[in-house]
Amino acid sequence: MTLLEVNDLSIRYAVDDGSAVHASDDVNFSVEPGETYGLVGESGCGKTTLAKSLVHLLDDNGYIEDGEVWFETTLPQWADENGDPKQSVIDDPDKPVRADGKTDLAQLNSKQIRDIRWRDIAIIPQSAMNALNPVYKVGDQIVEAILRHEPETTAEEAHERARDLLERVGIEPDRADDYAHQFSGGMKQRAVIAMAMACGPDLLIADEPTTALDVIIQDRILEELEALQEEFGVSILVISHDISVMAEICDRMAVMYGGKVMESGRTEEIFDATANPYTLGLKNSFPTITSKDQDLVSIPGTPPTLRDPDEGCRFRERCPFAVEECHAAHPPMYDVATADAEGRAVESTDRRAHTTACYRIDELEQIRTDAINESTWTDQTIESR
Amino acid sequence: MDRPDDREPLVEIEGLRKLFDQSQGIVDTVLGREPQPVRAVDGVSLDIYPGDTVGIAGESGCGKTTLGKLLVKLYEPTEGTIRFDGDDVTDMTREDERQFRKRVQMIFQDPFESLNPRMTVYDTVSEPLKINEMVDGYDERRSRVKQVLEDVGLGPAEVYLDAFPDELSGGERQRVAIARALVVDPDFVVCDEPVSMLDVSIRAGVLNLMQDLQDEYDLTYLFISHDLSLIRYMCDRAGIMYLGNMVEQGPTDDVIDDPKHPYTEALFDAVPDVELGDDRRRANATGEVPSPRNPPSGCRYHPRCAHIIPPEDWGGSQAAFRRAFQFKLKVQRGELDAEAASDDGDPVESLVEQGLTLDVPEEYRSEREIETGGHRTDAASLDLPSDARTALDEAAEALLDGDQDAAVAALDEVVTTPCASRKPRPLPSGTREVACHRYEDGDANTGAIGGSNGGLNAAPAED
Amino acid sequence: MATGQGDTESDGESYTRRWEPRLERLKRGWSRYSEHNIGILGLVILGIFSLWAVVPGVFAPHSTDWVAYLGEPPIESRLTAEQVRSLPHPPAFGDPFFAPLGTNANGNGILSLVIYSASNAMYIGLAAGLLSSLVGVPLGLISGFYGDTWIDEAIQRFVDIMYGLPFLPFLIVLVAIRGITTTNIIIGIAVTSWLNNCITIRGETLSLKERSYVESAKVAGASDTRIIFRHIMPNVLPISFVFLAQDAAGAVITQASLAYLGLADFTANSWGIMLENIKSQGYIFDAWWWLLPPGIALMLMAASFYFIGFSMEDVTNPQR
Repeated sequence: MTLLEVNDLSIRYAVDDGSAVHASDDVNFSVEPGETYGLVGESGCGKTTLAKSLVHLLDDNGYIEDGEVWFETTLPQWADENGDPKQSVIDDPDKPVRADGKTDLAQLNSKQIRDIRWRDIAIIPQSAMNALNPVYKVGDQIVEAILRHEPETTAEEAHERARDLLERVGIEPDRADDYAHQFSGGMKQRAVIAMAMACGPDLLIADEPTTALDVIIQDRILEELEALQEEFGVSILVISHDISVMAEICDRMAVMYGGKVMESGRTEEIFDATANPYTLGLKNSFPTITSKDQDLVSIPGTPPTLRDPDEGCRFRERCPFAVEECHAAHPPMYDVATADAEGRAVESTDRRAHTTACYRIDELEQIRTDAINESTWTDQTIESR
Repeated sequence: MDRPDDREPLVEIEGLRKLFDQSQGIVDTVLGREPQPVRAVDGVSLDIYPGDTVGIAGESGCGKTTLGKLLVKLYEPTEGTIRFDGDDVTDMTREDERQFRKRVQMIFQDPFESLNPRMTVYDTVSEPLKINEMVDGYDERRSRVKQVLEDVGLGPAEVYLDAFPDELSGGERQRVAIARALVVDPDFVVCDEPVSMLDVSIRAGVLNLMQDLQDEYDLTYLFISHDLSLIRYMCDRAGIMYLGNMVEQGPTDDVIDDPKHPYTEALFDAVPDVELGDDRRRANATGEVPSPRNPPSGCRYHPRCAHIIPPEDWGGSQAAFRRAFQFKLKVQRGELDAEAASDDGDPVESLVEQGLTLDVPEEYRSEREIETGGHRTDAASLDLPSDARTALDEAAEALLDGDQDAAVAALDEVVTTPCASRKPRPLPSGTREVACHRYEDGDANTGAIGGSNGGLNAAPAED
Repeated sequence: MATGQGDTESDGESYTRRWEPRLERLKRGWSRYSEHNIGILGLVILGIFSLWAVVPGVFAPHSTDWVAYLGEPPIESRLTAEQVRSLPHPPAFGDPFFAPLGTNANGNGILSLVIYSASNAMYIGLAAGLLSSLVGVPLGLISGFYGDTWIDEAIQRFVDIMYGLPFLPFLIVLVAIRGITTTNIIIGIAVTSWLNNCITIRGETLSLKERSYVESAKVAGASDTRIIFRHIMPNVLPISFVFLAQDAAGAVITQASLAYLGLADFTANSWGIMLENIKSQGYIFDAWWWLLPPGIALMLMAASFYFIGFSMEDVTNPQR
């Protein structure tokens, strides 16, 4: 059973001159309960936009053009006593509720989505260290979060839960009466995590959880996130540009480029059986600490602007493997296992499988061999120049 | 990686120290508080040989950027000397300084900030030429600028000459910044995190360009980065800094593959890596970097160190001493909550169990710690000598009476470490220099690393 | 500035090539300025006022000495008692005389007075604005660049003292000593308005000098003067333009208020003095045609300065 199911989600930013930035285009992915799912990509690839759009936190000029965001939850007013949606609600064509108990978040209004945020989907902000208010006690901030989203709780209960949450993330419960400046950096981060978990959400969105942190703290936060998952069984959607961080914590991931998912699947599959020119290029350009003599190769050119992009594969301008076909339309997601086994390009129907958006999937072996060669990337003339 | 001994170092740094005085507020002056300067760089010695790329790594606040800025004379050192090509840079005549400015350049971290938004690429790149009156005439200058722009991969240069920074991408901006540094044909370039603000797919291009230019322009680099994998990729030699001190330096591969200083070890363990998978260890360091305003005595790293040295008469294990020392630190910082413990059945035992915990990743924790979420550990299972156990109990009792000073005093006799009393000197150890007491004499407690101290120098330590 | 140094050749071609990018920059600046209608509006209003100031005779139907019923000087006859009673006269279009905005109690045409007063307002606005920028910007630059030294300390303490100066009593003393002239009023206004300028520019300079492009100029060996004039000043000038516009607007209004209080050179033509006249002659509730035009003109001029400042801010701030 899936927790979150995103279907053909397209998000646009309106620009003054009437054009639109296609921040994300026909994106599909799904997250299982208890899973860590990663969205990886460079800045401007649409990963943060995508995550924000799930809970309607886009900037004013951003809007969902098309697509569905099915999430395993039911609004209180639509639920029966078991928390499942009432039959009348499922039958009502105006209510975005499916028989399997999922609700389409994309169709909710802003009041309804406020019920979903924190209670069902919580967010750890990018600079979590600075997310605590310096003039309130840390414990009170958690209490406030609980009371705001679950007004039926009494103050004593909320205080008890706040202390319990702090203890579960490894902070002495008595420190609930301390202010943020009395906490060390790592403790602040943990307190923010505790706050996010205050209402027992099913999904946690962590936007660049470790960017701008030093490695030793980053190391602890990564451990913290893993422990959190064990402790609360929550699903985590992680957004980051750092593929080595992602490799470490994610069960599955989607590699995004120019608003499109280029490759998705289990983390090991993506790293061990890479099947997309962009992912191959990204791996080439990332130094690792373990290997002694490495030759880094960068991908030529710069990421696209996404303002009214033309048809065709988003990556083709920088891709050394681009062929005529790539200019016509962005490739669909092909199944990698079939391509590896039989050398055929078969469109994937299973979104959980290892899939890639590349027309030349039938020549996968050749592409993988060529991609290791530096000359493959440097010899080509870049189309955009 | 052996260095020919006949080469003269290009840059010699000796005992370099830079303190930043924070101007005191009126309240501090009235209360008669001593000014506490930030000790950004505190006694660093380093030689840089021509043609090398020397990496400086460390966490934020370790003083690596300050060190770089001292080398290009953006700051004046508080103490110590920097010699560039034999001349002391801190004491230069105007003419010497002019020559120095032509030979030393710097590339800054943020290409969005390091280019003046109101100057065209041509204005920016040609500025050092104009200031140093190096090329006569507009046309000659223009052709020099064009040539450098093409060298850094911005060709055809005509396209870029009249562009403003906000019309360029991040990668292009950083190339312009590199061109500005190289236009005077310098010998030594300090690169302060040159790619950290760039997109991943573009980084490698800039790094490779810097390597190519090193051969072409005959450059020596000081490469400052918090990203250890970049240091490994770029640098022949690496120095690891912690709180203003250089804890370890040597050939990059040696330092990374076989770190000797406990901090270096923790730092490299903390780096996530695609290839390591499940084999990765986490960093075995407690707590966080203390304030550089009031750094710990002796070895700066000792409060976080996994291999902290017990006193000679310590009867128990090193692991037990580490925990006992953490107990002492918690007492000193007032982190132990005596009030909460006094509600327990056995408040002394509860307080000791609380104090002996280690703030480390799970793989280094005791079973009891994992069970209790890091709040309690089992004192009985530790190899604590009896006098230490008595001292811990005494300290806990003193705390329960609310007497923090007495608690510290109780611990002071038993729980002491040479790491806190003397500052370790950087001593040669095999191919590199390490500043750690464990390498100062042959039979030191080498803790978990054990046996890796083969070719150590048995130089006596003094202070 | 140091831009030209070392360029010995003076052939025209390379000269054009060097100026081309600057012209280009100007063009782009204009296109960004003109994105805002409000900025254009400000320019149009200010343009009209400038024309009024330079060639009032072209726009005004009469001179300022024109008197209703009697016409332009030299005037030989006198007004009849009935004619005097009809003054201030509401707008009239040819019968018995032509005065589109009516007349004041002396029979002077309001429209002509408003137009002839524009030069006075422009003079006060621009002079006071420029004066306060000329004092405030350099002091702010110096104070910021040498931040946390005795130079900065000295300038800032001086600013603090000046802030303590009570404006009106100061002005009264000033005109009492030096006489009520427009120039003295301008000096009085500028003495207080440069302070904000100085403090803002100092703050901006303090942050700009930490930018790494300033540091990289230092690494290249640039002198303090070069850094101030080449790297910092171009980046603070835009804000100082905004301040210039705001100070100008403020000065025009202040001068009008001072005139209303009686602190003005009453031989000059000024919107503020016109308003003062209405009050002193007791026609505020009777002669709207006399009251409104100088008030509106005053408001429009201040608004035009503000509008221009607002749009300038957008031009000079390269971030979108």
